[in-house]
Amino acid sequence: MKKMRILIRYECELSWKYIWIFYLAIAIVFPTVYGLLYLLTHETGRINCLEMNTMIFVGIVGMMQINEDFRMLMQNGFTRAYIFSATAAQFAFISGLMSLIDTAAGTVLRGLLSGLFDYETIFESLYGYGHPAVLRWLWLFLVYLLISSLGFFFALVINRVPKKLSVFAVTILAALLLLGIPFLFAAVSAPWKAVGHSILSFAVRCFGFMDDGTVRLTNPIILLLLCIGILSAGSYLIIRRTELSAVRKSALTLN
Amino acid sequence: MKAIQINHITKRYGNVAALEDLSFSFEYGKIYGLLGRNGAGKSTLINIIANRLFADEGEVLIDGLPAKENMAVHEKLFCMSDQNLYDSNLKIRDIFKWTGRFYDHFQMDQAFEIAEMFSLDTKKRFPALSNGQQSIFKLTVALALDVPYVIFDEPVLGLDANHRELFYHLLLRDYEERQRTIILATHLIEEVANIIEEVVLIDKGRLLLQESAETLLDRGYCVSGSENAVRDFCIDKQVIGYDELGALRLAYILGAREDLPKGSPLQISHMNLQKLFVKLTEKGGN
Repeated sequence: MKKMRILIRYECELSWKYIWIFYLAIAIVFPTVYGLLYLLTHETGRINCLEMNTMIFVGIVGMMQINEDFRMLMQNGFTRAYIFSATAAQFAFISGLMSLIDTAAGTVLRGLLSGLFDYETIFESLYGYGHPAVLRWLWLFLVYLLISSLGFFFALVINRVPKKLSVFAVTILAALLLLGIPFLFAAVSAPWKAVGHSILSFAVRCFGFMDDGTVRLTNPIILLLLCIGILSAGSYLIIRRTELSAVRKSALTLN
Repeated sequence: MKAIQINHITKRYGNVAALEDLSFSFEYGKIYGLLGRNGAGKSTLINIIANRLFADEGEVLIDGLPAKENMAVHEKLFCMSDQNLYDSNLKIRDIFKWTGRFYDHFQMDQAFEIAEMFSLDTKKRFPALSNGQQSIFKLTVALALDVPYVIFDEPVLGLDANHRELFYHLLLRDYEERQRTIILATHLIEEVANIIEEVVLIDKGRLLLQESAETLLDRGYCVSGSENAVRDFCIDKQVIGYDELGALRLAYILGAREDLPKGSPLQISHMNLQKLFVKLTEKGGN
């Protein structure tokens, strides 16, 4: 366990620096942009500057793991099971910390900017106001964890399959998503009406919106936990068979 | 058993067998030369020992423990890779710091001492180093790590002659101070000929020979002298190569050394390991 603790410390300590660089950049760029916009146009409205950017950040962190840390830790003799566990701990650390900052900052910004801008977190825009802060944090934490896990899983899959095949697979997947979602909505008025309606209704309930108009937050939390579990299990199954030669060195390096 | 045991290792890439039913051992407390031509399977074998690649068949045991996905061998083996696997955003001194945390027996003071001997700037980040400096950094880590088995895969890549000499000096000093197994995989055979105790020769994924360097060199000898004298001496002998140094001709001969008659203009010396290597691997075997 001593080695595992050191490994987790390595992952978290190195992430720490990038988290603060990220927030420093946000703290400089967004007030400047929104300040200039307000001075030039005097327009006010809804803004959100944290969560979407954090989602991109954690997604990149997830994808970069296999390029940098996996190689470094394999060089230092760690097993894939250890590397996977430390990576999962790092994702939890980053997601936990950043969701805490974003939730707190969202509350503060909402108060500070009232009258000028309507600062709205993603959680509030989906589920409305008045929910406990712990629930808001938990939901955001799981969303970030899901995105970093997805990025990691995606990078592992890309590394496992040949480059041309991975490009082909991503194109097919994107096409299926682009065509599949409109089809699902179109199915409401087609012979598949009942099936399409059931799927949509189920999806909406999974996201916590019940038929009687109430919101049940346990549903999205269970859904997110389930997705994270599936992605983590998939990532573990892939990484335990990943060879170093299969890991392509990316030009983009973060951590 | 204190050794790295390679038991029936087979590794294929598609239809190509990189290693084919390879079995032998690296015993504890010796300096090995792991030799082979390009594509012979040396790096594949090293990566399987270091758990970076998986064997299709067979297993590697380190002191009786499976090397595959086993943290119990973490403190037993270190492999200096010819690839650049280090974190590109860390400074050299930070990598030393983390290596010291990852391993219980990393000699931090020794690492900085070796770095200073090589004039390695530890404030630089790994990618900012030249190829030679990157090799110096990697061999510094390997030398400062007190584990029973150390593998150097092309350790002197990009190093100038002075630094190569310094490395061999430090390697021998280290070996005198703490006996352990050192495995050197290199193409610079003549440079390591006087260092290695045992030679493991791999060719086309198979073990061609494993012998002590002394025995191997006794397989043949070198005769030198004038062209005509050498030519006459070599009649009916298995000559594996010639060299010429001005008017002096050198012939490398396989077989038991013969005494020269008194007053012979010829001189006999040890076999050149590189010549022997070239001969043994040029057609895939003896």
